[in-house]
Amino acid sequence: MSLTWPNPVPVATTLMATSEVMACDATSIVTNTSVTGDEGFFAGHYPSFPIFPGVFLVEAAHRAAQEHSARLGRHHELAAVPSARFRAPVLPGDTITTACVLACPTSGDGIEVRARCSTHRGHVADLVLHYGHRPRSSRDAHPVPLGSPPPVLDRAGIEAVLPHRDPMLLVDRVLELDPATSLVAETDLPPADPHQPGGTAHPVSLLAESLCQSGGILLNLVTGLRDRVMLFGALSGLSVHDDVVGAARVRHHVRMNRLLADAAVFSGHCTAAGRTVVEIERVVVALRPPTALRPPTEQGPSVTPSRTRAAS
Amino acid sequence: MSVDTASNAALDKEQVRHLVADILDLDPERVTDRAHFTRDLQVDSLMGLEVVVAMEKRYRIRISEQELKTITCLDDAYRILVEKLR
Repeated sequence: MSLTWPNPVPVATTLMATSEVMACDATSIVTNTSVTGDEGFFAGHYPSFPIFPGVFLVEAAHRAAQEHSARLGRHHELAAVPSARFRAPVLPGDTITTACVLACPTSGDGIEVRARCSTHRGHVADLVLHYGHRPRSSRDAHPVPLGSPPPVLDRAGIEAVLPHRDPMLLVDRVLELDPATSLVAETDLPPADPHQPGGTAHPVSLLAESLCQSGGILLNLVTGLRDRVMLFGALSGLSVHDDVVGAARVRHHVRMNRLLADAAVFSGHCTAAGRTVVEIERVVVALRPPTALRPPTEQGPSVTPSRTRAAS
Repeated sequence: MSVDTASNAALDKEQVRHLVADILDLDPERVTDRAHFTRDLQVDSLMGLEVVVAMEKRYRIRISEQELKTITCLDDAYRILVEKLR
């Protein structure tokens, strides 16, 4: 079954660069995403060093999979991102080719999408996305009440420990901090959320980004490594339990699982209106000086792409 | 197999192999006892850390940073798990 067409067709986009569908058949789709450097998010990611956010590679694969479903007249909900492994950074001027293969998994229901993202420098990410039933989180059976304490860190305090800035600083306040172990933070989604065009849900990739930024705050407060950049190594076991639609206050609960000199692993979940919307089993990050983000051709051979990850 | 069962019975190496293969998104057949994580399976330090954290959670153990550096293949990981669960 062929789903090809004469010219590349733009895929709707709000928060990231525009994608075009380059090829499509019954079980695969390939998109190209041109990153010009003029996209609005680069102003805040990061002000002195523009780099394509790693979660937008997940978004690119998700949008490609959605486009594939739409062409088949189907609709599938994103239920999980079992694995996202980031290999190298994406920089202004790059074109990201996202090649997705869709299959029905041998066990369970739904559709499994395996995506590989690459640029002219090579392979930048491997992703697995699962579309199908969204079970409620087991956490919701025993909800932990949390009041509305005064923030222990406000926006200015967050800006002192994170390099992210508007429109990519996605955490508004820290409510609880247990140094070295856990943190609770919040993000307010406004009524006119620019990431919910036409009443769509807030993108899962941005919920993941705000949870990871909360992890970054914890990591920075624990390590004090303010001259380092937190780079995504991998994101594993992301489960989507529900959509966040409209104005909402999203809480991020982060727990540090492991902290080494140059890397860390944390886990966490997001809640909205008291229910769990997203859980992430493991986020693996590297702590590197900003110079590690330069492409190998500019930096020399000492830093290989496999150790130069996508910025979180 | 549950964690409790895993820690009370002789540790099943095949279970460990499947856990490692699952984390690395590889066929279990590729994760041979002596396949070197870095040289043969292209596992870098962050992927290695992910494997260790997954093992710690699955078997409810703690692997030190020093021990982490000694894990170069499945046999090494299995040996450390056996020692921890003894």
